[in-house]
Amino acid sequence: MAAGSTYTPIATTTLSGVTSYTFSSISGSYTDLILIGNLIQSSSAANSYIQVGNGSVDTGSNYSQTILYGNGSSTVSTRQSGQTAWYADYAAAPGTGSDYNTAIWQIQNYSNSNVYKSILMRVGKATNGTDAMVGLWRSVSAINTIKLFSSNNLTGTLTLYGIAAA
Amino acid sequence: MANTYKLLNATTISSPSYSVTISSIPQTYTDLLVGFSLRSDYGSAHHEGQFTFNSVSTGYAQVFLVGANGSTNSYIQSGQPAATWSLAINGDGSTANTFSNGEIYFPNYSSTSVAKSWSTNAVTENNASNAAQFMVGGLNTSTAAISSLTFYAWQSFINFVAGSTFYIYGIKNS
Repeated sequence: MAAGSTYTPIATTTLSGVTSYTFSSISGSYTDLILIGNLIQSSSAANSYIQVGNGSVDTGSNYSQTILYGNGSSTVSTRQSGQTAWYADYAAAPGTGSDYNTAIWQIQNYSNSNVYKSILMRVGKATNGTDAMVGLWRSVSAINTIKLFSSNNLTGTLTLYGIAAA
Repeated sequence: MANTYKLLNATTISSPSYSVTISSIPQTYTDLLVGFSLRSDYGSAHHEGQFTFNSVSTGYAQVFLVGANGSTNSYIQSGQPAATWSLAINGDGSTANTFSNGEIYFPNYSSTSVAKSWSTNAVTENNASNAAQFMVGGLNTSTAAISSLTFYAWQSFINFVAGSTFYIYGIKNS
């Protein structure tokens, strides 16, 4: 994780039983973004997802992802391409009650309009799994909108930080 | 430096020590990040280390994915007296002068209303055939704010050696 004087909070929210949350009008004055999640959900076993875009999120089949996870008994790597969203978690989906996960999502060069956008994800939940994932959004558009969503109600905190290269 | 990623404590071990406690952690931040670089006097190439917070000695649960020496494994533990596998440590059997490299992220460490969770990434790379990478997700259902952390070099007969370091940073969401 990058450090330095540019680790600037952009927005933070406390979710209380919602199926989605969208960060919009994200400033383009940073180089990378880091989103921290600490979440539970209303019932078990549903994954969360992330879509990004400029002005609105892209719902097209432009997301791909390589996933490595351990679920306590096996270790697996799998691939997803042509998807309409990234998995925000895989084996480490938010739990219920006090079973919080810890999620760190990092988007590189989000404000660069010349490159496809990549994301690194590390998500862990003690009772189910630990995920390491990398994703690609096949668009050169600068990202100013990020949506996290699930089929279940999500509760917890999300904080978005900006990292500037200089 | 912005006050959102601030060094709160830097500890460098000067003589062999089984444990290190960092106390009086300020409560003015949202998240904590612990960076560590560790080596022990144990004869293996690498091994795990552990931590507790607030002297809590029950209820630690964790899932880990370990890649070591060309193979992978995953385990789940619950009801542990400490957060196991959350430190990766280069042992005395690893290449000389190599120390592990890792970090532990605690979201909402100063909250008094949520269970405490963490994520660990750590490696013991040493340019030899025997090395490891740990990825851990952990939880303790204690809702107390984290005000102290104690790190252990696994077993009581094993010591962190001089030059091992812990750095604790506070991250603020506003």
